[in-house]
Amino acid sequence: MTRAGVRCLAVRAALLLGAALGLVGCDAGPPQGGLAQALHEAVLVEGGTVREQRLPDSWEQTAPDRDGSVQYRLALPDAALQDAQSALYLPRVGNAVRIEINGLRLLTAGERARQGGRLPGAALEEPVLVPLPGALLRPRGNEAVIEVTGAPRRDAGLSEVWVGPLSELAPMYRLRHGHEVRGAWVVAAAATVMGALALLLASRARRFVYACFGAGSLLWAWRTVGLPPAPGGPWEAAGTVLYHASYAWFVVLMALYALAALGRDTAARRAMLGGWAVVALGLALGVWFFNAPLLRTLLLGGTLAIALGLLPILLWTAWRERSSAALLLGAAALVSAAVGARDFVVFRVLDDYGAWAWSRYTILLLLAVLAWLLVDEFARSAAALRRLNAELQDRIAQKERELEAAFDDARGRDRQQAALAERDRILREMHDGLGGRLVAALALTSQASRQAGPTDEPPTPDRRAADEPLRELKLTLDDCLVELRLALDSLETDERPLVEALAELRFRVEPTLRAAGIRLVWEVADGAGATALPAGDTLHVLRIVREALTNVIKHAQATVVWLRLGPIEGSGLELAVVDNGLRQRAEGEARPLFVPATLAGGRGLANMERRARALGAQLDSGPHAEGWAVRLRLPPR
Amino acid sequence: MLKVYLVEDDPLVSQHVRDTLDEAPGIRCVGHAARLATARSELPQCRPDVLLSDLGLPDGDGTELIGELSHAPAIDGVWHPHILVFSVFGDEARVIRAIEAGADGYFLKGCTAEELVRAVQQAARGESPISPAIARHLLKRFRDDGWPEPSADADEPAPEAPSTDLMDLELPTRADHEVSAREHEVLRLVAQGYVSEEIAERLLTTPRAVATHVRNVYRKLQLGQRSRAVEASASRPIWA
Repeated sequence: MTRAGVRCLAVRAALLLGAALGLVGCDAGPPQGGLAQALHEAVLVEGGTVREQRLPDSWEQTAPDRDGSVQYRLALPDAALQDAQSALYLPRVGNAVRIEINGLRLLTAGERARQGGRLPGAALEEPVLVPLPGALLRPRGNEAVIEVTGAPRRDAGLSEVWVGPLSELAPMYRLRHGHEVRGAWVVAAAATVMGALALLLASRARRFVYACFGAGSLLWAWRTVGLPPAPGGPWEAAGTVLYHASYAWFVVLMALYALAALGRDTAARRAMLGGWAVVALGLALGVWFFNAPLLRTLLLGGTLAIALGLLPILLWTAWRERSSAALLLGAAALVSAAVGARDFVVFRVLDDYGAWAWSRYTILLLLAVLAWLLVDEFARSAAALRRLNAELQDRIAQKERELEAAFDDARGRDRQQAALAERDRILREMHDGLGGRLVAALALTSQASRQAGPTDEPPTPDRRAADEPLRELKLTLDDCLVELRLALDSLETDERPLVEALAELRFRVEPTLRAAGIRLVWEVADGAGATALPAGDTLHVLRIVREALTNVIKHAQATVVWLRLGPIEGSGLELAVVDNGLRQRAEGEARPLFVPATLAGGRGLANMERRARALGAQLDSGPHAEGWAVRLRLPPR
Repeated sequence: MLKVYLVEDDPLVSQHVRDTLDEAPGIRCVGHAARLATARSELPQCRPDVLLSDLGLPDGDGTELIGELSHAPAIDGVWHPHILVFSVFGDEARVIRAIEAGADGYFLKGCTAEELVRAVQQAARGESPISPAIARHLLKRFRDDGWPEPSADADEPAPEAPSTDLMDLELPTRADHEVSAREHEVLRLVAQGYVSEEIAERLLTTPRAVATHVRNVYRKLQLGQRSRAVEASASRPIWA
């Protein structure tokens, strides 16, 4: 994870924490310097007995088995009643309440009518604000009597009682009312929606982790607003047991969710959490049957311990992985555990009946985390999908290119194959047809000359004259064969080294040269061996050499001809055909002067020059010290 | 007296060859066939020293006849002719197939009478004519077949074995058909246009030795071909 990512996550965690602390700040007292006072001293009248009772008074702690009504008598301090409009504010009272001031009944809330020893209606879970009519108040010595009706296991009791100006108490009441009623409904609504969403997601995506969250969330929603359960009937027992167990189950489910979301849900941890869920159910049943506050404390304390035990795992994971999920879950768990611990201390240790329950809001934190994780996961999978898509497209494009290349290759091969096949066909045609006939014609000329007379007789001038056309014919036919060969070679599709092409030419013309009494000296520089030309260019070169050699045979009276192939200074190749004709002429019998112009008249020099131009080569033809030299300078390739 | 048998379907060419050979001292053309069938029936009686065979014949390919002669058990244990393929040109692939089948070399139709006589005499001496085109094809062939680069210790040419070795039906070993560095060099020089005299000069040896190298290359080509055929038949499953 990048540094920026870490910073971003830290900001998010801070925001979550800030939101949690904002909730903490809601637990506000009265404005400083006001007249309102909280009354903590009361006189409890129960049946015939009268005794001092400190408020808040949680019946679960002070009288778990009490089933009925008691009166709390409070002396209202005069100082608090100075304002024109005073009021009495009870942050929490249960299950039903009747308030009298100076013997005059002011308010009845909840249901105090009794039927068979049970409270039939819904118990009161709202704060109570009673404006005190000025006419009712005496200048001093005012007394409030608060009659509270409760039943065991139903969290009856009375919080501290506030008295003071209405203008000071009304905001406190509204705040408390908002917390108890609106806050509960908001939390419940949000938890229901997200829980349903998570369950839907779990069923569609087959993700256990969301099922845990959904179940926990719905359980919390029910717990927040479903209480207290309607009294009477089997549902009261079931509802109450479930109520007590639901806190533990909620924590277990959320722990499962958190562990699964981070991939830390080992079998042992799951078994432990499941085990605690079962134990919690047992404890809840114990609470119902034995009405023992200790069991409830145990249940809540154990659950808190579970939450606290989860915390290091989440924080460690968050530290190790630094993933947004782990960080957010760790932070949420930290806040939730802190809030849970605070509520545990306040309600179970300090027995503050009137305190605010903060725990219910922790679900909001968890909901926010889940929402964030869902959005995050969605965004990630969308990005992954896009990446995958792009990758896929890349791969497809690459495959297409490869296929195309393969097709091109195949096409090229096919074309080459076709060219080769065509060449073979032409070759065969020429070989079996034209070539065979040329060979036969050559054989025929041999026969003809043989029939003209045995060769070992000294030829007469007449004979020589008669043989001349025959020899010409023979040479021409031989020429035809060589030409055919060259033409066929030029059909070759791939390049071949020039020296090999020259070698084949030599193989073909060597006998003719030998027959003419000319020795061919082959001088190929080693460096020239690798130079390759396209087939067409090779043909040009071969024709030029062939022309040069033919000229040597026909006109030069040479005894030696040098064929030189080698690199020239700088770059390129030089091919030279050099004979010793001049020296021979000088030494031997006089023959008509060697006139290249007569060659040029036919297919001679002009042809060679034309071919050299086609090659982009330079052709020099002229006499040198010993004879005639033809030099072809090939440009570098 | 050198006995030559000719397989050639073109009457003009065959007439020319027969006349040329008969004119040459020490050479006699003992027979001539225009068809493979005729050659098959006459050869065992004629037992020529040198067989000149065209490739394209009316009733088949001369390569078949060459293969039969090379692979069949020797008649009377000793007779085996030197075989020269008679070819026009541009026909290297066919010539190499013929060499693989057992031919000792080839020469071009339409060459001069002197060349023809020389080729026959060389063949009778156990030398094998070669052309640059054939050398080029062989080099390419060895390269394409993935033959190992000739090593220095394989420099010495294999001792000249009697040609009846070709009749051995034993499996040739790999080393028997790998070209040596020297043989490779000879092929390379031939492909570059040098004739055997020039090659001998360059390699500080005799033209005769150069010819022997060429013949050994041919022999290895034949062995390689044969071992490939044996491998192919050995690797074939029994039910195929």
